Amino acid sequence: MTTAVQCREITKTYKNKRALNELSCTIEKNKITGIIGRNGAGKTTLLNMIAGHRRVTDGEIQVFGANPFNSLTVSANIVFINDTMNLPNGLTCLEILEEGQNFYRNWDHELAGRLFEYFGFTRHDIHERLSKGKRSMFNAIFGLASRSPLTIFDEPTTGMDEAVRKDFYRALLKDYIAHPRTVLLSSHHLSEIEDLLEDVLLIKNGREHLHMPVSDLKEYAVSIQGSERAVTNWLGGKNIIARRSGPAGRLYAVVENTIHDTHIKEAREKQLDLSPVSASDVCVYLTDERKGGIDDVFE
Amino acid sequence: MNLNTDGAKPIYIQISEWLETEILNGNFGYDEKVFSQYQLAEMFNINPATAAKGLTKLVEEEILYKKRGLGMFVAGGAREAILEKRKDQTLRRLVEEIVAEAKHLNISEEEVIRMIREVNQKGEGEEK
Amino acid sequence: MSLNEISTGDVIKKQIIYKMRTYKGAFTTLMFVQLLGILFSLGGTGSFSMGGIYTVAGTQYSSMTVIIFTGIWAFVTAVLLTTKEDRKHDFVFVTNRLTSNVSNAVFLGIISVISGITAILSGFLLAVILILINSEIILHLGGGMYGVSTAAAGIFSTSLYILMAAALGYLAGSAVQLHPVMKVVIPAAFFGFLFSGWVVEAGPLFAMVFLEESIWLFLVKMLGLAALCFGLSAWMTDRLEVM
Repeated sequence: MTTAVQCREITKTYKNKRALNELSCTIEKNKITGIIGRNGAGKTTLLNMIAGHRRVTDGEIQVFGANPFNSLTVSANIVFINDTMNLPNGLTCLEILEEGQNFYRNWDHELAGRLFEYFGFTRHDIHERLSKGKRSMFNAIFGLASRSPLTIFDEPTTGMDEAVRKDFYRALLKDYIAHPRTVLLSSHHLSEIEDLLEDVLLIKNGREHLHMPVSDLKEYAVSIQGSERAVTNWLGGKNIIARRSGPAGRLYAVVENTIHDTHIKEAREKQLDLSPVSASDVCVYLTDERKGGIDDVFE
Repeated sequence: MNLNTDGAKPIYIQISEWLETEILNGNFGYDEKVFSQYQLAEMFNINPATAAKGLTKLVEEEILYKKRGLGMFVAGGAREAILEKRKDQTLRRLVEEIVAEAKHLNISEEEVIRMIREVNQKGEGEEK
Repeated sequence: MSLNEISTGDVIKKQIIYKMRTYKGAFTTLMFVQLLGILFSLGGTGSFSMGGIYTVAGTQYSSMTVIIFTGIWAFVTAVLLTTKEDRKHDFVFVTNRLTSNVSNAVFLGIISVISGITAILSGFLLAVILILINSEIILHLGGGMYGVSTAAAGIFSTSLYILMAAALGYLAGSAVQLHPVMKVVIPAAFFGFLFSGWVVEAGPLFAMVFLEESIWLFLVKMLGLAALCFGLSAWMTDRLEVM
């Protein structure tokens, strides 16, 4: 079995809002997959359902071949780290790690202890009284040390400063290399995590919009820039993802990367600026709901 | 080495180019084992699958060969293949860009060649 | 990475141990509550006088206040266990709804016995304090304080009463989890019942259930009722999402 998570047309409705809309996706085992999407796209809802915390309104979801809702087996094999995670205040942070060791079979207590020390936690720390960034880091340590076959990090770096984020990502990568497992990582900042990822699952309006290796995503689109007329001519028949009018009759456009050498040559001859689009920019353009861009507000 | 992560060039291509340079510099000889995907992933802080893609690219170009269960090794004639490829692709692309820019600036072919010669001589002078 | 198989019993055991550790603060509260109960009891719970040629007047002291306070404590502790925050804590670790509910029930059972023991022992503490503050007092020990066996019977029945309070708290808390409107409905129903005539009519029924002569029958009744409350709670919350 190579599938970790399988969603078949799952829908989740809250009161009268649809958070997920017939989403289907298959997440393969032992890969780091980035869950990317705008705020409110349904990332957290999806992760909550994978973790078995929420029930599907419609459709079918399977984690390691079982329905995760109310499943003890699924619970024993996943860890769900998120920024609204509340840990018991009756225990110190160190005691929480000890409980983690009791509950999780793969738990690496030595790693937990070393990370605990490295990130400057003390044995008297209480989770609730930590700063936002430190709380996130503690949650992340819990997630790493559990070594769960399915490890879910929903916005794990909220509040962490730059240096700590880098350390966390490095720790995640090193531990993943040593102990490959299925990792789901959601973030607003794809650019920050893209090197870490193998696949990207892009969610838009509660649906799977795109699911591909991150290296393909980097070659998914190209941008073209130049005088409006030249660009418009060049664009003819291509699949346009985004289009922005710039000052002084300039046009900037992003198209799907189906171009050939002749297109490149043509662009060069016409003095057009043809360049690759980063994976994170591709996601921004693909999920843009508004017409035009922020510039149009100022027109 | 630091990777250029701004998106201009895919990471796996940067990985394969870095390995090519290592081979050109003689850091890896024929039939010598190169870094595994996991070593590369750790070195460059990237996903092992991305590193594997860079290695696979070199296998496809017959610069590396795979021994099942043992890893990737430098193929015979790897140096020559790399040199050939760089000349064919990288250098040609650069020349194309030079020619296009020259055309754009209305500079004659002779003048471009003269400029290349100048740069070359200056470089040789510095080496002495 | 291969999947870990885990048994329900194993998880319940771990959850109970986890709860004993994380709710150790509840025992501090218990100590305060029982000390407060003793303090209130020092004034006496009733007085009597017997007349003949000589009139004997005296004051009754009992640990009833302590037991009632303990019952309230157990009720509140049980309600707290069902709150959103605390249910979420279980799901940080390994659990499903069943193991979460069963471990809560067992945990409440354990704390009922512990607090039952301390409640009865506080009766002795009360007696000691009375002697200390008034050396001329003549104590006549009654109810459950004669010897080991009566004390044990006292502990036994008190624990069962406390468990009942906890079970009711758990049921009420679980109902609130089901729908927030229960926060209003439950207290309204309780006080409505208390101040309506029904409480008088239901009196004999309560007496039949709670004032049982046979200790074994009492055990069966109390455990049965508590199991009913916990079972109902588990059934109600089994499909509840973790939010």
